[in-house]
This record gives sequence, structure tokens and C-alpha cells, in this order.
Amino acid sequence: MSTESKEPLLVLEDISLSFKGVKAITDISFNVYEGEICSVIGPNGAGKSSMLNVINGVYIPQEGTITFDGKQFNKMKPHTAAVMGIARTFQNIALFKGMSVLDNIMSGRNLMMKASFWETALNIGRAKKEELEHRLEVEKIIEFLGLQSIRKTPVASLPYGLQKRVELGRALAAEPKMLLLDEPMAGMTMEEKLDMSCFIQEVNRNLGTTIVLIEHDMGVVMDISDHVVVLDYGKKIGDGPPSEIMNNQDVIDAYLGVSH
Amino acid sequence: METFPSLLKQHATQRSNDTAIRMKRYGIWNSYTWQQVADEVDQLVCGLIANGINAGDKIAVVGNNVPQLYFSTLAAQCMGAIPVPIHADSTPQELQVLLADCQARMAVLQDQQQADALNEVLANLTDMVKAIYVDERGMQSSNQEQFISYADFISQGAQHAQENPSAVTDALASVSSEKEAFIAYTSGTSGKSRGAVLSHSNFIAPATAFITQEGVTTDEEVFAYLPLSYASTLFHVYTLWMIQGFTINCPESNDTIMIDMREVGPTLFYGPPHFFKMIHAMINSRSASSKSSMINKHMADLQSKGRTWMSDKLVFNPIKDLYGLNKIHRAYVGGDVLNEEVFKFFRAIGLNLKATYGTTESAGCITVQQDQASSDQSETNIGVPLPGVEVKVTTDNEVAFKGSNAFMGYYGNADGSQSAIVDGWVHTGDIGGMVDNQLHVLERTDCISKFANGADFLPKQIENSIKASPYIKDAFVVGEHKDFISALIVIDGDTVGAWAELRQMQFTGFRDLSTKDEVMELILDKIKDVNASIERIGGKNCPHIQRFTILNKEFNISAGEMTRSRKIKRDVVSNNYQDLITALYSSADHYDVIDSTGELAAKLRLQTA
Repeated sequence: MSTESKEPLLVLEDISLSFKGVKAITDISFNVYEGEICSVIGPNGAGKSSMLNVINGVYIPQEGTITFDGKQFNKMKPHTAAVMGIARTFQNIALFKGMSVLDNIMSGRNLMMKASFWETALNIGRAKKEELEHRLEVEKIIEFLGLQSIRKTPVASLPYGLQKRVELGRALAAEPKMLLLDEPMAGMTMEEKLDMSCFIQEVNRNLGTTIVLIEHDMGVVMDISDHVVVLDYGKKIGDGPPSEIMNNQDVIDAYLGVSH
Repeated sequence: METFPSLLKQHATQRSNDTAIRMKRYGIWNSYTWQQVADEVDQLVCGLIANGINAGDKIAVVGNNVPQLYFSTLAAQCMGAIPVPIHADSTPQELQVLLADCQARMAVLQDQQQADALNEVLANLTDMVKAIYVDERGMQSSNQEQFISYADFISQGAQHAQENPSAVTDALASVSSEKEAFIAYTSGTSGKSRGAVLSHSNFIAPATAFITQEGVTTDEEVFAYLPLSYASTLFHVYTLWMIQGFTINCPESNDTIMIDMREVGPTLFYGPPHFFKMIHAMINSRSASSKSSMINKHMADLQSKGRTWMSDKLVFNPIKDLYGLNKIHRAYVGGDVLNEEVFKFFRAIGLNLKATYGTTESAGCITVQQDQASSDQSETNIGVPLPGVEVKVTTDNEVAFKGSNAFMGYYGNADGSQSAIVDGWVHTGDIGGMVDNQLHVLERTDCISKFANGADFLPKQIENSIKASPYIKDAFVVGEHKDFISALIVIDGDTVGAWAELRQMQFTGFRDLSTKDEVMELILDKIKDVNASIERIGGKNCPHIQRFTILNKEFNISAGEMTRSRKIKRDVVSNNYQDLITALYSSADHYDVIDSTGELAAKLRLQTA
């Protein structure tokens, strides 16, 4: 897929982030185009998760600007990111363990619910109708991800791969423009990885969601990405389509561990 | 004589507001009344006519149980076209073979999966005019001219109906009870699938007899979970439904069958042996891990003392409720032999389970076991013929039948029809015998093997007794031209997993589990039991199972090792495991499984029993 013709959805310009003088990210700029799957890869400690956290406002960079959907920010805040249509999943599963799959995904629609606390508590007024509408949307996601047989199962009793899928479902429930996935396939078996990469591609293709993902598994990244950004020691060392990245000498060195 | 269209019309007038069919979608059961069904079928009929379909054309119906596929089937029959039910997970090659064989002019597909498969081979199918897909998910980007969504097809039909108000009634004129109602493909356990042509009366006459004999009411709840591509489903679900006008319920997906079955609480139930075996294994492994002394006591007393009012209330009704068996007043098992132990278990916990026997050529039903009190319960006993059906056993011990359910012939295969129908008797290819007027079926004619010493042996009989163990899912035995029997065993991952967990064994998955020494011991015990029973029946010199191994994977349906109804295709399995079988007859004590990349996938232990 050619990305040249499309508008960038997210523009990161000269982002630098440090923690008490320790530089995590140095002068990083890259674009994420609408409708693409963009992977951020790099060795451990390269600053990938920090990058993701900057995008959805968990960390505030000391320098640089973020432009999302035409609006420029110096500081993105997590709730602004959510309202603007950025949803994410976490490296360590962050679900409500005691709640059912259905309720967990339902919680992803929190931002779209308009009924007041009392209406919801007493199930009157807008709350009743709203609950039904949101439930329908959530059920569509459940069908999409093939979670029908476990919709009422508490999340804690599910295997790891399925929990990851539920987390993807919750992020999708927010109907995001852009989805940030932090190592969606870490710790999965080969079969679970295949399932997950199919779902990621289907989300991208069928729902048109732009996806930024961090991943270790190079095979998966090269297969499903339209665009790959490589970080090493907080710096960007590669940016382009997978075919180009695979032949990039800096990237090869970083992965094979040439001394710096 | 009734036809499927005339039955539909009856229900639409007599019980127009009763629920005809339900399907769970998005977590909710959605219902269609008979009136809605009839209206939608009318629109589909007009859609078919508008697309140039004529009486006698074949319409392939490819998918699982969704109401729209039932409607399409009915619509085809309401204009004299012939529906051809085909498996949802058919490969492109299978689709090509079947659709070309029956010269299908249209295909109704459940979703993208079938559309993708069909698309691959569409160019080779010159008769095909149009393909309709029910679920639009993933089909938005399809710009294929020949594909149309079910919703669009319905509106085409509605438009045609407006322009031609008499279209539906005119189309009905070509329907009669002696004309073709279905082409049903045989599963092809031995050899290739053949399309059996069956008339309306082939189904309706024996099913009417079945209803009277078995007391099927008009208020049944039936769970429609088996594919329509089995003749038995066409009989036990579709035909009974159309005659009696009760309610059928379609599950949400293949993964939710057990959950949905419990919600539905069917009253009339038909299932294959592996379904009952699965529930039996689940109950066993749950009660084995149960710490409740009450459950354990009642389970242990079950065979010796039977049920009491108390044990029903406290143990068996709750157990049945877990699997949605509580409201069943009649249950049938067919398609293969259900192991005696499992059979007795279900009867003991109060399920009125009876064996039936049928073939595709007999519209899915030939015999039904009599009510429990009067019947002999051995596992091969499949009862007495339905009224209107005659059964005989030929001098070669082959079962043959004739009567209202005898099919019209194989489609486009006059030679096949001629060899199957001799003097009006349809030969089934099953070996059996009559004992006290009850039919017993033992084996397929082409499966009988001979040992090196010339003695006959029936591999399926031995496999069935091996499979009696809840820990063994499948077994394949060989011994043709040998001195002894060898067996390939596939363990049941769920029950053996639960067994291993109880013993606090560490394992990662099916492969790991299947190579554990403890599991080998467990299976070895079972094999020794089987050998003991062979010795008891056949005497000391009867060849018994001397060598076996536990496979590191299950037999694969998509690789053709099993039919979709989970019957082993003997020639494919013997071919795929040729080297392993040779090793079993050598003195080797292990066999290395090499995968496609040339790496060592598993080390199988070759065990001597």
C-alpha cells in the first residue's frame, strides 16, 4: 500500500523525552498515515513503549509537538487522546479481572455514554435505551473477535491469548480512529500470534482503523505492516516500508548487536 | 400427498403467529413466525425467478444452520428447483467437484468463508449464474458481478413480485410429491461423494410414520446444530419441523453450541455418537474431580442400583441441566455405533436415548430402536424398520432396504444407481444381521479385513471397544494380512488433561500430554482390557492388539483423514501413516515423526501390550 498519497493522521515532530536527565527519546519525528498499520520496533530499552506513551499523553515530552487529526499539541493528555479517538492496549494485560468479557468490553464505551449517574444507577431515562444501543455495538465486536462462547466468562479464568483479544475488544469498543497496541503478541503461542495478526489486519481493513503497534516478533511485523519505524537507544534509525527496513544496514547492526 | 411447499402453506395459515425458527445473534434469540417465514420464502422464490432459475435447476446451499439458509432451501423447493445442501467448510476443490457434479445454477452461501472458496473456482463452474451471501461481513469490497447479498436478492424478489403478482402461485404448479426435493451428497467414507436424489415423499412418508410411532408433538423445541448437509439432519430436523410445525433453534456459532443448547433446552434431540461421547466424557471428568461425596456415591451406584427420586433431584437432573438435556423426552443417536457403556450411562441417568440407522440413500432413516423396556440393548442393535420400509439381509450379509424412503438414484450416475438398486432393493454397503427381528449393523462391506491366516476381522468393532474409554477419542486398527492387530490411538485432550491435572502432572499441551509415560500407562490398561474381551469372545488363539502407539495429533478432517461426521477414512489414514504402521510391525521401540520442514516433531513410543 502506498502511503505517499494519504494524509498523515499523526505527525510527531522532534520529540525528546527524558526522565531526570536520562534521555529516553531523542529528537524523533515520524508520520503515521491514515489507514495504515505502522510498527515501531527496536531492541529492549530502545524507547518504544515511551514513544507510545507520548502519543497518548501518559508521558509529556520536554520538546517537540504532536499533531493528531490536524490539531497540534505540545502536551497531549490521556483523556484528550481518548476523546480525540486514540485507544490503546497495554503490554501487561490491564483488564478488570473479576468482570465478564462482555462487561470489560462494555467499559470501553464509557466515554460515549451520556446518561447521568442517577439515570444509570436506577436504569431510567436515557440509561435504558443507551445500554441497549451500546450492548449492540459491543456484541458486534464480540462477534468480530469470535468471543461469543465466553462472553459471560470472568476474564481472570481465560488463557492469556484470549485475554489479549478481550483487551483488543475493549480498545475497539471506543471506536477509535487510531489504535495503539503495545506488544499485542508478547508471550503468545504461534497459533495465538497468527490469530491476533489476522484480527489486527481485519480491524485495519474492515473498520479502517489506523494502527500503531510495538512488536518484538520481526516475522509478524514484516508480514502485516505497511510502514515500520525502528528505534535504537532513543533515536530513530529507520523509517519506511518493511522491504526497505529489512535491507537497512543500521537496523541490521542494531538487531545483530554491533558495538556502539 | 404432502410436499414441503404445501406443508409450509399449512403452517402459515394454521399457526401463522407461532415461532417457526429462532437464531441467536448478538447474544439475543431472534424469532421468525411461520407467517414471516412464508413471506420471506415468497420473496426468495420471486428472486430466483427474476434471476432466471427454472424448475429442476439445482441450488447449492452452503453453510451452517442459519434461518436464511432454511428459507432458501424452502424457496428452491417452492418453485420446483432442487436444493443441494453442502458443508460450510468445504474447500474450493470440494465445492468445484460437487457444484460441477450437480450442475448448480445458483449458490446460497452463509458468509465470506464460502464466498472466498467459491470465488476461487467460479471460473470453472459454467452453470453458475449467481451466488448469494447471507452475512455481509467482509464482503463489502467484493465487486464480483456474480455475487449478491441476501438483502439485495430479497429486494429484487420483492420488486419482481410487484410486477408479477401471480409468480409465486404459478411457480408452485411444478411441484409434486414424487419430484425431487433434495440432492444430498454421501459423506464418502469409502470413495467419492455421490449425490443421492430424493423426492418430497422420500422424506415426508417415512417421517410421518416416525412421528406417529415415536409420538412427536407439534410443540417440540429442536436444536438445529448439525449441518443440513447430512441426510439425517434433513430427516430429523428439517422434515419433522416441516411436518409438525414446531420450533427449531439455530446456535450463534459453532463455538457456542453447548451454551446455546443449554439455553434452548430441546425436547427432541438427534445427535451423532461423538456428541454423546463428548458429553459423557465431560460429565465423567467433572465428577471425577468433584469432591462432593454425594455426587460420587450416586454416580457409583448408578449402574448397580439405578436412579431414585432422590438421586434424580440431587444429582442427575442438575447434571443433565448443565448440558441442556433436562427437557429431552426423546433422544436419538445415529450415523455410527455408540459405545454400549456410554449408551447405558445416558439411559441410566434418565435420558430416553434410542439408536437409529439410516443412510443418505434412505433419506436419513431406515430403522429406530424400540422403546427401552422391550429392546435388547447391545450396541449394534439399531432396532426395527419404520412402517412402510422393508429391510432384508442378503446372502452376503449386506443390509438392503426398500420402501417409501428408497431414493430415486444418484444424480448423473446411472451406473452407480444400477449397482446400488437391485430388484428394487437399495443395497447399503453395510454388513449386518437380523437377531430376533432387530437389525444389527456391524461394519462397512469394504472394511472387512483378513489376517494372514485367512480369518476375518472387523476393525471397526475393535476400534469401538477401544474408544469406549473416555480417555480415547479415536482409534485406528490395522491387521490386514498380519498375524496380530496394531492400533493408532488418539487421546481425548480434555479428559486426559483433566486426569493429568488431578495427578498434578505438568504438561504444556496436547502433544506433550500424548507423549507422557503416565498417559501411556493409562492407555495400556485400556488396551489390555480390550485384549481380555477379545480373548473372552474369540478364544485364546484369536489375534489381539499386540502393538500400539499414541499419536501426537488428532486425525485431521481437512487432510481427508476423517469425514466431517468424524468417521475415519481408512485408505487415507493407512496411507498417511504407512511408515508408522510398518514400524509397528518391526521390532522398533520408537518412531520419529518428521514435520514438513524436516525437523523432528515428536518421538512416538511404540508400545507392546
